[in-house]
Amino acid sequence: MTFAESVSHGAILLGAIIGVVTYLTWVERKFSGRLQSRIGPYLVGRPHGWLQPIADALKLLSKEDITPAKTDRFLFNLAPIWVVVMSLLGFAFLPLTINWVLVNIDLGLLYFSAIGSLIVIGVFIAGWASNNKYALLSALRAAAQMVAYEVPLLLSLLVPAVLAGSLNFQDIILAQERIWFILFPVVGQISGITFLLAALAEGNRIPFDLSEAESELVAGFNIEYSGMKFAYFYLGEYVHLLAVSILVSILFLGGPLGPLLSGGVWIAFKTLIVFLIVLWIRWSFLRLRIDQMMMLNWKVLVPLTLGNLLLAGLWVSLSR
Amino acid sequence: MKVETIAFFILCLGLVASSIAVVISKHLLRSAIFLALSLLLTAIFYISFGAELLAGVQILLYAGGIITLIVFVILLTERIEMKKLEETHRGVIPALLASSLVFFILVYFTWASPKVQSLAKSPSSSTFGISKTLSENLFQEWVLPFEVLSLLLLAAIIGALVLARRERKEKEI
Repeated sequence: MTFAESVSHGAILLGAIIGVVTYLTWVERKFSGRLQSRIGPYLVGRPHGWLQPIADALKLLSKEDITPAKTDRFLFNLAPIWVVVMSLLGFAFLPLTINWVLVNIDLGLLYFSAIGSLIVIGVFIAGWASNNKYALLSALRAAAQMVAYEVPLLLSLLVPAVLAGSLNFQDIILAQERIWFILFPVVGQISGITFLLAALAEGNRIPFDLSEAESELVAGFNIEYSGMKFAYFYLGEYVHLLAVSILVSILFLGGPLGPLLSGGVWIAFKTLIVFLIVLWIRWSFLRLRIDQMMMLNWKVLVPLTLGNLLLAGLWVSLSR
Repeated sequence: MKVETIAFFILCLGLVASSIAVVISKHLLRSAIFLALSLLLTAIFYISFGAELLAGVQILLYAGGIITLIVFVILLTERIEMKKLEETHRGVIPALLASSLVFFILVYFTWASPKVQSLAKSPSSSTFGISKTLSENLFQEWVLPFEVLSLLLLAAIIGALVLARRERKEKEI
């Protein structure tokens, strides 16, 4: 690709992500409403409130932007930008069909997880720069959680890479032509489930949203943010969630592979399914305590994923 | 000028500016953030020289891991809220001398040595940074030194843990 081409492709991808994410909030509200025997947004844009996300965006754009007096202004303004940029950067390496990927390199998986590990710094800065004790506590919690869950996340990410023998997303997809990795006996299911759990914890979603914990910490590290800066954190969270859903569909569900329809349709369909599973988990479970969460991580997930990786390595080396 | 050249100079400027900002910034956390930025820019340099694996590891380990640790430590130790750091630029002249000496040594060897020059002229043809050759070297040819090194690092970690623990006990007594 030439320079101009890659810039225009990047711009298209960026616009598409923002659009999709805006409507994912609508999907979430509708879906959670149905789970709880409600209707969800209905009035703005009949039928079924399809204009609600636009209205929300306009509201956030027109809100007053408040910067509290004793904050560190530079870091306070940097944090939301950092979170959004790092969440969006990961998309550069995700293939959306077999051939359409913005940056096609051998180490796509490594780069994706490397950039994902930078989000936590933004959360940290936000909590610190707000000069608010709840925000700082929440940021500390979030950081401890994200750093801890990074271990099982990466270990379970490695299993598809080991099975495919490559860190390139395209090779991983093509290796699933015979069988999706989630259907791979034992190894696939364990890594798929642990990956989803660890990713939920990394994205601070229920049942792992301790950094938010409204009842203890008011609202979390973004408590002092308002208007568009708050929206940036929200956007970052959803973009990250979308990236995780796409990643699950690529690594475990065969991504764009499927009969009849084109690759893009299949990957969108699978991503939507994964996203709905995440929502289902979110609206069905209670929040864990911090000690339960750390115990789940270090005593269950880490040994499990480590053993699973060993098993996958054994399988590959024996079947070669 | 080609787009790559312009991008290269923008990168250079950003790297130099962020590195200077690490040193002269008066707030610890800001220094850490600028350090993260300069490490990321270095990673982009690595990519532009074709060392993709090195760049990925740089982002994952340094920017993702070490900076997070540094920020953690700053938040846990610096209890005084938002206090500015005191000026500690006492040894400016020796530091300038030392760094310019290193700079001239680097420049001299890049220009004088033909081996470095041949590497610099064809960065894409060098196979050093490519993951496949690297892993073949690391896990087939040099697997024993690699494992011995990892054992050494493990011993160092355990040693550090033991030392830290013993100190605390002595303080408590």
